[in-house]
Amino acid sequence: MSTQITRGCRTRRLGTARGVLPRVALVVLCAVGIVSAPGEGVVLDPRTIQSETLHNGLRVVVCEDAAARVAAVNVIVRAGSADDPPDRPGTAHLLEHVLWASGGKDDPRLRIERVGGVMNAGTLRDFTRFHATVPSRDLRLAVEALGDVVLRADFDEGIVAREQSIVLEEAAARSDDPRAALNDLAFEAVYGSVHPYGRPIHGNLDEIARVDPAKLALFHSIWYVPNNMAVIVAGDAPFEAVRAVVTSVFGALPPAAVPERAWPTPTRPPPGGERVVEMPLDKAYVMAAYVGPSISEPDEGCASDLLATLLAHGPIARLNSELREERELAAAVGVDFLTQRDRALFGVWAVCEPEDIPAVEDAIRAEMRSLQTDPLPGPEFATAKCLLSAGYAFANETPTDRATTVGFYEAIHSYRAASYYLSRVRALTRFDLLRIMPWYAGDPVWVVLRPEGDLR
Amino acid sequence: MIRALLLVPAALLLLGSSLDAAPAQRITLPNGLRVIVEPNWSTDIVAIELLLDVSAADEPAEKSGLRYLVQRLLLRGTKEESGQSMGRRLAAVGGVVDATVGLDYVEIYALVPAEGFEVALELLAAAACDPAFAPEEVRRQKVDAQELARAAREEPFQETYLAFREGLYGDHPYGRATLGMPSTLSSITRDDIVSFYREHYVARRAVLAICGGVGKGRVLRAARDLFGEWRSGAAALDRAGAVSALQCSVLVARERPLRRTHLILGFLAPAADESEYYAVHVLDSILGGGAGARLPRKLREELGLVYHVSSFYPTLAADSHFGIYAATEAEHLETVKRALLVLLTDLASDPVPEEELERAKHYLLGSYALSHQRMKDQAYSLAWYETLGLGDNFEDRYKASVGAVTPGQVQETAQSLLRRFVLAVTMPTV
Repeated sequence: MSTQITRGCRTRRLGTARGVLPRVALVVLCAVGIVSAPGEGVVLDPRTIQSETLHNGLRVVVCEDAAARVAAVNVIVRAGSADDPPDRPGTAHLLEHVLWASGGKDDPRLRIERVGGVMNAGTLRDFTRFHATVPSRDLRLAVEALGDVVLRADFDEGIVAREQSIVLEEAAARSDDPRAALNDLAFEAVYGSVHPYGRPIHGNLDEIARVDPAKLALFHSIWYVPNNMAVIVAGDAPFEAVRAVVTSVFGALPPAAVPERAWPTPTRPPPGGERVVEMPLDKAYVMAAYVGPSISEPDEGCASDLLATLLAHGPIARLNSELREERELAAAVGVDFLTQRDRALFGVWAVCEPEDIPAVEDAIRAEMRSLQTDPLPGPEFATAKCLLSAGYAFANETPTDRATTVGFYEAIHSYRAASYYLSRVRALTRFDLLRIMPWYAGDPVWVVLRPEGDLR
Repeated sequence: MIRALLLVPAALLLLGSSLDAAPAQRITLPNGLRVIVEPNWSTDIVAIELLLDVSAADEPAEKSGLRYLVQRLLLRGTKEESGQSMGRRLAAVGGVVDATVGLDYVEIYALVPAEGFEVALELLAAAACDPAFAPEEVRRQKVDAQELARAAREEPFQETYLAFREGLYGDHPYGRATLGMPSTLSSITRDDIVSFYREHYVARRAVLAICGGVGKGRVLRAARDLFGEWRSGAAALDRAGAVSALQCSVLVARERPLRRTHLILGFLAPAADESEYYAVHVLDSILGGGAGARLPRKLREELGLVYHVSSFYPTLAADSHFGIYAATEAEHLETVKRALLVLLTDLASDPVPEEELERAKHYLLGSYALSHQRMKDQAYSLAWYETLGLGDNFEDRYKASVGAVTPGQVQETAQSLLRRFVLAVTMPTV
């Protein structure tokens, strides 16, 4: 859930008031979510969330928290890189850049920053989001500024050209990061050219250069329509006030038919085989890539989050004990799994010495096999549930977090999934885990980044 | 008009803080441990921060990374319980824990749902007061630490930042890698670890800050029970020593197998709460704070040369640094460098327009508030500002002082900073 593609220039590497310290981040897994106490607590209590569909189809969702003093606003457009025209990968992401960075005389970003707020945007495979957090009395200003960004209809050729080069810089920076490169390669290997998840979010050099202002305008006119969008507000903002301001900014937009998505269902199990790429690296990066559940398979998705926790989260992580502590084969292990509209990548990865690749692959295979057959000890299962629940709470601590989570679910399914997530986790049994394991039986696609010049 | 302008930043102070937060309470236990509690009933989450005044200056240069190794080992078992068992007990209540090092301090922190608070505090106390340093764990953590120290240097920002600090600080402890180097880490013995721990990990050097959904009574009771017996020890000495001013501008260049060139250009800058501290923060925001700041406007939007550009000014106990970080194509290095120097010279020669100054201050205060919304961040700030001796009203002082910075002060600060610079570059191997 946390893997947003956000632009770096607004992410300051070092906080204004913090020391510079190499901190080991609290790993909140793929699991989307929050939770509150493992006992009775509620995160994103459905009783605090109100929603409405405006007459033009725009969805409005409000998670009110009168104690918050800030309002976090997300404008969601249900069009991501998976909706790029097949011959123009990167269109959705470039459009997000151009909308965000067009500025103009009364730059919306400056309006937000002048009241002490922050603003950003990001593109994923399923959707694009534009978001701002401001003091709650500036709710109107934030919705208007985001409206000005999202509804801009003129695309300046010079700005498009500049953003094309910036997108390429962004893609280059991403390819210098082996973990990101491994994830991109896994998507390509698992979904191939058949399913749109296989295309890179950024597109590539030649393809991006072929996206001109007219192509952007066309994409914008097709997907940026009110019945394909949602506005989410979390924080100190009463529902009536939000509805009024959202109606004044977006209410006059006419709805329009949105194209049907005709994607082939990703095959399960995936095609098998191995994809190896050489990079200038010191270590090897290995991933067992599977196809996991979609948001329409929520119980399976939740069980897969639990599996990810068991494999790679905290002191109970099986791969951690096996690969790092006992055998000292891997420098790092993890699972990439982000629920999506369609069936999502479930990638079990490790970082190791190139000569240890076969041993690491064997260990991952053995661990996945043992989870298929051996009963899981009760305490281990209970602890995994507890970690997953608490992780959901930690990941939804602030209004900004909650708007992100609710917006995420509203984009790919319904905001309600955010509220039900915790009760789904609590209801999981060991049987649910056994039931999900066939998804991860059989051979995965092995995706490997190897140090250059290091032949197996 | 003037009044209206002054009121706006004051209103921003509210941003991020919750109506349910109670004021922080401070007590000092008989052994010298300072405890700060800030209950917040709007959340079920509790953040526990144990921060010790153990700085890079406390470790010998040839054993750099010693603090990091000790920190890792704290979580690997006590005399009574294995690290794995401790970790499992914390996980069973949904808690997470970690231990890290900064230039000026070491910290252990935990995040836990409120009902697991006592379990988390007990484990954290055991880790801090009673670590076993089992020989097998020492061996294993040395291997791991060397690996991570190597890996950190493959990360382009970290590598460039270390080169920048080496150029800026020379032999001063701030010029060293906080994680140590593989060579220094491998020379560290268990005896080094045990004696370092005995000397430095004592109650009088520590601040325990707790924020979130627990009451003061519950916290103080647990803190007295669990930390009351901790060795008192001696308070930290002022040992970092003065940083020598640069005699000339310095270029530090390195090659790595990367696609982009990463650079940091920057200067020595005031320590926490010195007279120009707030003006540098405002200058930092004018240059790098948000999309409206000068760096992204010039380098990203006008010249289209970079995807990422940012500036930073960490709060440190001794002389800090102000830096600008950018990643670009190798052929644009010279253009980017020149553009940065022009931007900096402009700040020194012309006063900042009033409207731009206001945007920068609002952005600074807004992002300060937003970055203190999480219980973890609040607990960290309380502990760190207490350690720096900035007292219990630092946040108010910060906000008022930032609000009072004038265009003239920004200009003077720019002039005094900009005399000599360090440019650190990590470039693709040819």
